[in-house]
Amino acid sequence: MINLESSSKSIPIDKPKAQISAVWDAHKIICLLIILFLAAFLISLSIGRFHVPLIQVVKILISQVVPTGMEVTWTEQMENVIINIRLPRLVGASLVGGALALSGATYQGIFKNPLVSPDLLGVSNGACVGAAVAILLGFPSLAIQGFALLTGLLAVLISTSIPRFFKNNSSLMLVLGGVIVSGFMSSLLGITKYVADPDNQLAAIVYWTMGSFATTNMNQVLLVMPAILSVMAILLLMRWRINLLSLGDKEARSLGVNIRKTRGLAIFCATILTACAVCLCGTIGWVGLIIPHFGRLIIGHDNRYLLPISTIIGAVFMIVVDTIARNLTGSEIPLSIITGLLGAPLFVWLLARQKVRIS
Amino acid sequence: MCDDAILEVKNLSYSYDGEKKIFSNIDFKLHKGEVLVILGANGAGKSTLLDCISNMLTPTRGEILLKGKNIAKYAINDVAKIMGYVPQISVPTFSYTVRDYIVMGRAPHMGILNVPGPAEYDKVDEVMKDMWISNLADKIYANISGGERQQAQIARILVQETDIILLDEPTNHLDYGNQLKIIEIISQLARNRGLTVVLTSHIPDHAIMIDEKVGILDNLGHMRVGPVKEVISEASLKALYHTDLHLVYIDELKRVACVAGKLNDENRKQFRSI
Repeated sequence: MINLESSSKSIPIDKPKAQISAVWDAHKIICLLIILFLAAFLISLSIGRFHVPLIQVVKILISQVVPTGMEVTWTEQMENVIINIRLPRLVGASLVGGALALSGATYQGIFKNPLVSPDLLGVSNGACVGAAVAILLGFPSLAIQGFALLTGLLAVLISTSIPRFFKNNSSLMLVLGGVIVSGFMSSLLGITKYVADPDNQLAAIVYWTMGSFATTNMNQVLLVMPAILSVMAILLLMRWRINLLSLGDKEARSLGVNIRKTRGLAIFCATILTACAVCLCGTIGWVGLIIPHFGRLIIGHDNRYLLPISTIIGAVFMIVVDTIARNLTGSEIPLSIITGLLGAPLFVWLLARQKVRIS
Repeated sequence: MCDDAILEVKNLSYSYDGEKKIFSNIDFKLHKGEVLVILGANGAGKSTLLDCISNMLTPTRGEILLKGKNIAKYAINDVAKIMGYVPQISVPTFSYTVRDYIVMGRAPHMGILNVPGPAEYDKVDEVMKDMWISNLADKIYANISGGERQQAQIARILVQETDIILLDEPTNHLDYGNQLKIIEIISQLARNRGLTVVLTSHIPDHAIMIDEKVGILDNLGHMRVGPVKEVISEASLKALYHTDLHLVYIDELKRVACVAGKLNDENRKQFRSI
């Protein structure tokens, strides 16, 4: 016992209670957000050029799970629109939104910088190059996705080997590696655009780099879903370790954290999430940057709560964005345009609210 | 092992890129409950020495034995169970409460996928109570004062439950009152809890107050280690700081205090043109 005062009387403290209430609050907020997510999901299913009443949406969904014993009060067209067209893209949007937001929150924690986004290490630019090359070669959409995934991961692999090349394990070196690779990949993308046939290939490349769920089908979603969900689970389980990493390399190491392995695993998971998201719908900006800020405004900076909350908010945000994308005008609006138009002013508002000190 | 030294540094040398020598042939042994204050001028390599001892940097030559076993043979997590390290005051980018900050000290005792629960927080509350900082629990770590932060850092290391603690200039940026508080806490930790402490400082008085072992790291990278009375003298301090210093006995304190005199002539000449 170290008693700095001569007497050893104890101070009455009720901190455990305060902690319990903080945890309880976090759990309540998570429950509320899940309800919000389900509501947004159902409402978005019903909204569209072909309107399906909400009650019918619920009935159609239930009939898919429990096929018998319900009176069919909906048309075949309704069922087709809900199950084959809107459901895949909404499941896709939820996964992509959650993946990008979780990935962004993880990157921001690891790199101790609230202003980084999941494509810091070049995954998006890398994926764009792969997709563009596949489009140039006239490959089918599944191959385009595969190429995007591979080159996205390859870009991050190169970024992460630059610190190893210089035998410098610091976060800053990793960020510089990302800057170098992103720049290089964006030049390669420029070359593919330059040589692309301007009548159709160029448009396809540009459209792909702005993101869309217009062509998403259930098979594509089911292909990436297991990867996204399992990697999300790993990141959410190691969420407290992100707190430790956010203290900086030296302090984290002094607390027994194997920086290379822990940071490596977190970066690997966050990269897989972004790469899967990009290969499903093309690149989408802003989500990974602003959603974690939004989460911090609600729950604070502790990654134990921030990571799950960002994931759910990301999913809700992406549902809203996709709903706008397919309903605002006669033709589909690319997602990045909407995330940018919504995201930029939202980010200004968030920065003002958070009073982030940027020096 | 022939004795029960808990931390032994043998023939330790470090040089950047194999060329720029920082220090060389440093030897010392510390037992349970001993304190070593490392004094040195700015840039002498005190922090680098602590980085080597704490396993952040790999020394160019020599070895560090923790409980008789070479530190390189321990897993990182096991080193953290024996030795804690408080770097110079740093503020995390993100706003954690003091309680959530201190609980991070439990990390070496937890699995990679675990999050701290009531058992971990009970330890935190106990240590905060012992250190009389329970009132800080729900404050944001970045918003408390420098002195409070240093106490929170020490609380985090106590929660870590190590045998050895290393502190890099723990009194830096602190006012007189807080400096004395930290020095007193360090003395108490060694005396009452039997912790072995290594700290760096610029202020010879801190070593005199703690009155245990002191190491003077000179600009040539050599370190002389021994009891305060043997190592600290006017001559050794003058040579260390290249300035006129006096050790004056203060009756009321029953100890000597270090008082700065004036710059030497060579240094004063440099500033004449200002």
